[in-house]
Amino acid sequence: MTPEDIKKIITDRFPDKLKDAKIAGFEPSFIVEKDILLEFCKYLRDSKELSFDLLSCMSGADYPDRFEMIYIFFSFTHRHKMSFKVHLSKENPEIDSLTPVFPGANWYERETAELFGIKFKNHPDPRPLLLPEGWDEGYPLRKDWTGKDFIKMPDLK
Amino acid sequence: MGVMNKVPVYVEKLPGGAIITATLDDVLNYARASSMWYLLFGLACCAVELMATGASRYDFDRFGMFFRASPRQSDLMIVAGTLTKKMAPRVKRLYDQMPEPKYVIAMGGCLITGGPFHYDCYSVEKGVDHIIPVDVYIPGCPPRPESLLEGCIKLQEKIKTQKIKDWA
Amino acid sequence: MNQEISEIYTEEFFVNMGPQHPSTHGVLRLLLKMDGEVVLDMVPHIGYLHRSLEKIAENRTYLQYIPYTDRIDYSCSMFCNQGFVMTVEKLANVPVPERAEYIRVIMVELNRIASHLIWLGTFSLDLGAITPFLYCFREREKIMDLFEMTCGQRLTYNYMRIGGVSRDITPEFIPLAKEFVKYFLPRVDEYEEILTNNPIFLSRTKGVGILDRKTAIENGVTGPSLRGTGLKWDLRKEEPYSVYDRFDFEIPTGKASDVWDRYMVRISEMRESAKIVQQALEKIPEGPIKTKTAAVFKPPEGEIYLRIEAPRGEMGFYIVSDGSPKPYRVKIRTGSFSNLTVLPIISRGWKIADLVAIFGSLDVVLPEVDR
Repeated sequence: MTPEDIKKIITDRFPDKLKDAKIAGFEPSFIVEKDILLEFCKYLRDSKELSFDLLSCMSGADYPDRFEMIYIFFSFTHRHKMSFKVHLSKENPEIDSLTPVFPGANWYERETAELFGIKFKNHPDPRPLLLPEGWDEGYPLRKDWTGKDFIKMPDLK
Repeated sequence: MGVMNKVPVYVEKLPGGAIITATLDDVLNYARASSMWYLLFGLACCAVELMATGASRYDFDRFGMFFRASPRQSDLMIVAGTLTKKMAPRVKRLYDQMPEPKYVIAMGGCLITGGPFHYDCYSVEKGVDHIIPVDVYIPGCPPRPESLLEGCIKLQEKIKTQKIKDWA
Repeated sequence: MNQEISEIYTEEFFVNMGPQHPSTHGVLRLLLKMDGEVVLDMVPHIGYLHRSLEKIAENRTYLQYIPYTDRIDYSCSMFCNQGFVMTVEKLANVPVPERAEYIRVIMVELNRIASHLIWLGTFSLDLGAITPFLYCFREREKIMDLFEMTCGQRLTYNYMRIGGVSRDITPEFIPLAKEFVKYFLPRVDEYEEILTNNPIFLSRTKGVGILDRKTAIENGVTGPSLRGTGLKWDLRKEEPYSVYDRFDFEIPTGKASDVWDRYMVRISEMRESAKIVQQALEKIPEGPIKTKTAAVFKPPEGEIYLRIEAPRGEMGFYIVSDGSPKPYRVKIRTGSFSNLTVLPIISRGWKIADLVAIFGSLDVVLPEVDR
């Protein structure tokens, strides 16, 4: 199916809850409100015309006024793709966990939680994954983070 | 063990005793240097060059060096690869488990001062000599097998200068 | 005195297969819950090689970051180079000359053979066969001679640039590479003669560690492990990038999705890669090797995600650019990270010696998992 058909089917099913975005290479892309996340992903996986079954990548990003979560999907049965983002607030970044719908999201969410500080509700195993045990110096991938052993590369001009 | 410790010092004070200790030095050093068994401890990219040095083109076995999986059976630890803060206590524990006399070769730029991960990196321990004492440093990213062999030969030369009364 | 086997008393206990272990191919810690000799459950602990490559990307220019992409997966660094460079080129619409594309394909497929040779050597060393290890490294030395002739390095190449490659191949490269391909194809038959129909190998690998297709897709498994379940999916054929649509090659798949099938898929892939290199060496055209880009390279604002077929699965790069010479956010999606999540599922109920064979067949490299 072409990207325009997929966009039409999804916007017909969820009117007023989606905005447009652009992630090159994986169009159509949307900005989805975080309240309908689980329902949206269940629809993507279970509907016969779309059947997105591979969660290709999942990541977080830190902008000056918000956090973002990016999800990228692919379908083996129909060979088409799509992607979407969710905006989260800076003071209280919380979102539902996708693990009940896509088990492959488990480790991606653990990694994002410990590096950015985003909380995932109802995650089955919220332990840190990559950082050393007893890490108490904050969330390293945020833009305003600095730690005691962190040497920034000097500008050579 | 306490009785035997001081024997070389007393033997050396006898007339002509220096000949015995010097010959014993040479024999023991030659035996130690010619059959170092190293611990299989590859962490990252340098481990592949370590495996390639042990394979058929550049051979470790002609130096008498052979890999062992357990630290209790080895007397050389070739640390190869980047050391992170999470791994550092485990390296110390492995080093403590090796029996004396033991030697350490640090292979690769990451273990000397952090290598390419010195700047902007929050989880890398910038140098393995913060954790364990090192005998030979081999620079490179990753060092060629010939560099690793030269490092081993330098370690053999260092062993040949050891004296038995220093171990007392 | 005559005790029945079923009356042997066993109890549950925990065993730590620690970060330093000859069979874990790197620093991985597996906490195993065992009942006698049977594995009941397992928890992998990772992060012993976390080198924060994503944080480093925010303070380096695009050109300065290319050597760091080598260290994402050191056994296939040409792929990591190619993935990053192709993503930036697509974001900034930089065209690549034909000769550079052919050179990239030759280097990348030779690197696929080298990566599968490391896998085969260490896999058979785990199962107890020491001879294939020495044979595989002998072939790998010949490939590394070819790479050293071109870019000066044996393991982490830093060869590709935005808009092409950094150095042209020398005139001696093409006859030596053709000779290598002719020498290599009978060697794969030699490895198969030792291993494929060996009764010890068959009893250790046939029917062991079965991964069904639904579990694989749900958990994001890609690469030869997914092709071993019977799904004929390869990004080089389905979404051809670079010049792969001009070559003629097959995609091997497995039937029973056990350890033996994954082994056969990788052995066949080595033969197919050798065929691709042979065809590329015949057809390579003359021309420039790099498009000229600005001295201070600034791609336009935007986001992009692109994926390539690496030896261990899909490798994807998600780059956010804000118009400055340094990227704003780089996310690296690797095959081994998702492949490792199925290990607890497929090793339940097997003995600990089978666990070594199952883990070897998934072909996990730890820097890809930890980045």
